[in-house]
Amino acid sequence: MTLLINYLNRTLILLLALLVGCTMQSVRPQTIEDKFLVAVLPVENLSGKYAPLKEIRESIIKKLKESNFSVLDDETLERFMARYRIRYVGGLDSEVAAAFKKEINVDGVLITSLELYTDFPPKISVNCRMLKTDEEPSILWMESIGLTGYDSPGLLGLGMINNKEVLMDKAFSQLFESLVKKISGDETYKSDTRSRYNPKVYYSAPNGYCPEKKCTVAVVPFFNSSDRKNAGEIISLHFVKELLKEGFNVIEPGDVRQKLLTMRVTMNDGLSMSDAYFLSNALGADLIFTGRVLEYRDVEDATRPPMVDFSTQVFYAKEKRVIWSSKSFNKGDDGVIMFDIGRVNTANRLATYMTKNVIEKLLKESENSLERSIVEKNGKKRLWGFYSNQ
Amino acid sequence: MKKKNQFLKNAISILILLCLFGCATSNGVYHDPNMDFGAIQTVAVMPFLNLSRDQQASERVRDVFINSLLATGGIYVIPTGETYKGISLAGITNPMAPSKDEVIKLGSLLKVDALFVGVIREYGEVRSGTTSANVISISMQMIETETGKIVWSASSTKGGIGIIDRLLGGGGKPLNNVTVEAVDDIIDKLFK
Repeated sequence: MTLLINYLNRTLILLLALLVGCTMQSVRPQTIEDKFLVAVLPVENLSGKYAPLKEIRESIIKKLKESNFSVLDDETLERFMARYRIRYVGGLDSEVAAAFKKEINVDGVLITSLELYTDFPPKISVNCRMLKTDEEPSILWMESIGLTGYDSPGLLGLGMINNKEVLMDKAFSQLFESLVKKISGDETYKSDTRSRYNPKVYYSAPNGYCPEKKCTVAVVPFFNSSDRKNAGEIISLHFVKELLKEGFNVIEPGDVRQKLLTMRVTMNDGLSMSDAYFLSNALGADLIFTGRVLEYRDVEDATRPPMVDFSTQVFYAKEKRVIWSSKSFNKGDDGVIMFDIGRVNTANRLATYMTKNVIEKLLKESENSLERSIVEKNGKKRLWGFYSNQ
Repeated sequence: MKKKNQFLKNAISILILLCLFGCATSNGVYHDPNMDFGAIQTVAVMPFLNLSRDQQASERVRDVFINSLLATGGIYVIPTGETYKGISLAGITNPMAPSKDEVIKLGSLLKVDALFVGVIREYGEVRSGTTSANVISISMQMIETETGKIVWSASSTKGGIGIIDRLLGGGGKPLNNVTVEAVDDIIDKLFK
């Protein structure tokens, strides 16, 4: 009898192991060819604090290899970076991106920007994008993730993650799952906007340019008026990501940065119209997104919610005018009534929702813009006494 | 005795009248009666003078004010980067309180019909006993760039500790919401 039970147990374990093996195999993409070679650039630290960047990069490489990508070895990458004097790792201009393909036959370059990292309670927010190194380099995929150890505490806090490695592993697994889906063509874009993240005040040009989804867009780093270091760059990355998801042709931020440097554009209080015009011509962009960040706060402890406050401006440089202007501000606990249901724990996720809502509102409003002549706000019409004379 | 009563009645009536006059306030709005506001289509919003303790108050209120003004659909506000460029080119040392000549010069440089200048008098938390709430007090002026004259002026105060705050506590409304309310109120005064 004992022998029979032992035999049954072994068979069960074997079957389970086989099933797990099958599941793992099915997660692996079938369409990614092994020759898709990826160069993983060193991680750009936008957190403003110390972070174990090497450890994070190693974790990324490990996850990429698990997802069937070939990763360029560090020695070759270092030699290439030294030859092209690449010091800025937050983006690539098209010249260098093309050289990646020509010289070392790299198919994609992975650019990672770290937004937030804390050991305890463990928190991580990253923004990743894969740049395709064709003759005309473009952003192939972009995604961000913001996780904390207390996102799903569950019953008696059993769901809490207190180990930073576990959290990092979870974050990169989710992140690269999306990359695999994108490359294998399984990605389905779900629009999950929530009204509480809508811009609080907005202007859409009444007879404005209606942006088609195929139009080319450049996102200029937002003017940072907040206490948080690099908040302008972070918000602009969120806009790049959401615009890409909406189907816009977005110019690689590395190219935008290079043009800003070569044209010696300095933003003392935001972008001027003439700068926007020249930049748009140089980049071949129809629209330029920019704005100002007034708050981008991730708090250390779990009790207080994150806060994000920014305004957005969209320049239609061809006609030298602003076609969209909006103001967004939210806290992580907005709309939370009880038990922290719906609470957002990182500024990264909050900014994702907010930027998504800005873009959706912009598209929706510009569709109706030609029909609208008077802006109605809160149900009451606002009108100059003389406006009707025009 | 009758005379004394009459005197007392008169005194009380005068006192009540005085009290009523004391309660009555002007709405704090000035519109130049000779100004054709219809001519104003493009404006620039100058950096606001900040008299509060919060160093970011000026930028925060200016940001909300620009967006709210644009959202009315009645006026086009030039981007802040453009305004800054104009201020630098015109060599204005104190953009929060420009002189008449500076206004005229800036107007021609930026090609705007009017400038908005403002003062943040109060911005932040106020306390009374154990109760606290957010309050904002702002005043704005519109200066025509052709003549350098003030054509509109208004002020608004929102937030603060109310009866409900005193009774129930809670800390009042968030500062951003109070700012939007105050800016909305001041823009309503502009369009009236």
